[in-house]
Amino acid sequence: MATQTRLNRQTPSLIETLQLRLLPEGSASAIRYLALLMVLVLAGISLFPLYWALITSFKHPSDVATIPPSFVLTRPVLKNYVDLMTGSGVANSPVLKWFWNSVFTGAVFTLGVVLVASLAGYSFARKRFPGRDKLFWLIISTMLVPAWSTLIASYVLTLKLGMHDTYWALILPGLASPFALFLFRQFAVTLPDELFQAARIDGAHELQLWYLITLPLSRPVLATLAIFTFTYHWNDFLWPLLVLNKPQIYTMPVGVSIIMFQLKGTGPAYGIGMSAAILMSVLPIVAFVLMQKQMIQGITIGSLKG
Amino acid sequence: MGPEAALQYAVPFTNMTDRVDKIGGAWRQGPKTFPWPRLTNAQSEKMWGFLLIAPFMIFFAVFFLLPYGMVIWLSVVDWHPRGVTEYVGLQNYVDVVEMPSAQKSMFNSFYYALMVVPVSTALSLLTAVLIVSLRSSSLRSFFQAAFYLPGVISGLAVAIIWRFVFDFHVGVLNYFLSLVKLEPVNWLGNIYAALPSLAGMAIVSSNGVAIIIFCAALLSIPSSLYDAAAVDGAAFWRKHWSITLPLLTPAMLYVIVVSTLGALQVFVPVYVLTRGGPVHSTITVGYYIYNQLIFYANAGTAAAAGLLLLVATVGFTIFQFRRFSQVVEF
Repeated sequence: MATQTRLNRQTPSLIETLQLRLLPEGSASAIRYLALLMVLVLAGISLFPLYWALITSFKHPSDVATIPPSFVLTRPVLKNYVDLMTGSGVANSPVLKWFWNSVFTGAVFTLGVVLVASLAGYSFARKRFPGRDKLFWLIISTMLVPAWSTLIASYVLTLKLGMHDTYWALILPGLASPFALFLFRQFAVTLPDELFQAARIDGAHELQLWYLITLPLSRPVLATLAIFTFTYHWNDFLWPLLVLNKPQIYTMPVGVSIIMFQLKGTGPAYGIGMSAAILMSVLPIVAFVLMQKQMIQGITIGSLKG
Repeated sequence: MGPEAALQYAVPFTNMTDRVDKIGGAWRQGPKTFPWPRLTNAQSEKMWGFLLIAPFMIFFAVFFLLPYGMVIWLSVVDWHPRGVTEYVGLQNYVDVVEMPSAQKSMFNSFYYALMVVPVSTALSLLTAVLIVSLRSSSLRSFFQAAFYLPGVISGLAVAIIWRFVFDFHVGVLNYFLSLVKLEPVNWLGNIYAALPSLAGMAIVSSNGVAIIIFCAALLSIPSSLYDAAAVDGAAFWRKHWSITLPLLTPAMLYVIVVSTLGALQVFVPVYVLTRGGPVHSTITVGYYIYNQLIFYANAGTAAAAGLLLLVATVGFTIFQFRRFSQVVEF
């Protein structure tokens, strides 16, 4: 037993070996601490704006735009959030309605995307039909086309279909998501074929293969997909900006951008802007913190296994 | 119902081989006179394959493929929401090519991409190397998360935050400059500083995905390659030049292609921070198209510009693939 442990200790793990190779020869702890320091500085730079927005949003309006700026929060108040919620002096800004619009259409959109993509992804992964692979790569290749080139046509199309200023415009156009299809198909391909054969012998219906075998096994991927999709919809700004013109139907980002545009002023108005930015970021950040590991895997599926 | 008819229904269920044949296909159960033809296994699989992708394909055809056709049509007509739509040939393209603001927007978009993509790729790679070389695995995932965090929040929120950071009077950046006794810079109001400021914001706030991809790629390099290089007496830099970089090429290509695509389409920061100004110094293709569509109700010109952007982007992507395949063979 003791020998065993010593052996293990002597054999560096994969990552340790790699680390030894990445760093210059004979580099001891000094280099490692230097690396840690550099990462800390870089992370600080990248996270600073978020921190700055967070503390500014809780400052009293009179403390928002001081020179020199104070980098710590001394007396937190909710005034900025209250101002934002109650209209912040901007006419016609039902912030809670915007929040609801975003949440509701986001939920329906996410359900739709996951449903449609999991059906199609299962089929692309496990069924054999003519033109399957060509069709799949055709769909995937549209991800490499700039959205701007067809955005105008989508705008005209949804206008002609009478979907502007309705929830439909926020739900239907993105429902067939190539990214979701890709993510789900790449996962469904890895499922062992024996499971499906066994189920088939037991008399499973084709749709049962999908919802009794594929879906339960792909719960992690479905969760990742749902979070990605909801976050994407929640953060989407350009499309709602184009197709929504009535304040009652705005999503959160469109409404906030209108508030920011009307407030214009510098100084204390930034407090309201920062609280809006934080309010928009809470859901994505919470989702990310809960699903961190799966989301990070989801990103790498797209890049490495493709 | 006569006895013959009853027999017709009874036969399939008394025939043992027929029953075995029916397993797994509810569609094939039932009497032979059922209106649908009996399918072989391959036929049934084909049918189900098409049925299952049908919902996706319908939405895909209507909202992805149809717009491709429509955008070509839009680019050769003078389109009005309520007026008469008439065929104008290539006039829209001529308009786009001749319009100074359109030329400026093309130039700006490529200039912006040229500022953002190399710097942010290099910075992400450096950060990824640093993260991978950390000893504790919890620290590694902590930093991956920390760098990815600004990427999960919306571009709009990031832009609003940076409007405050860039502010001439009360912004943090100018405060930091004043600490080292430098003149304040009008980050967004100066025609030379505005576009680089937007690029700087993108470089700082959108590296998360690239860092995670680089980390995964670095961790997948087999360390035996380094051992072999060490046996051959390769020096530190030589090792990375000949092993690390070539093996990172697929990840690098992915990151560069995706970030170029994103940079060429930049819109939200321009919309929130500068509105294309001052004096068109930050007008990008995205903002130009938005302007043509919404403010001038000029969908034809917008469509033509969108198609030109498509051609330029696809050309640029193919160029990047070519360059990379010269460096390394996949």
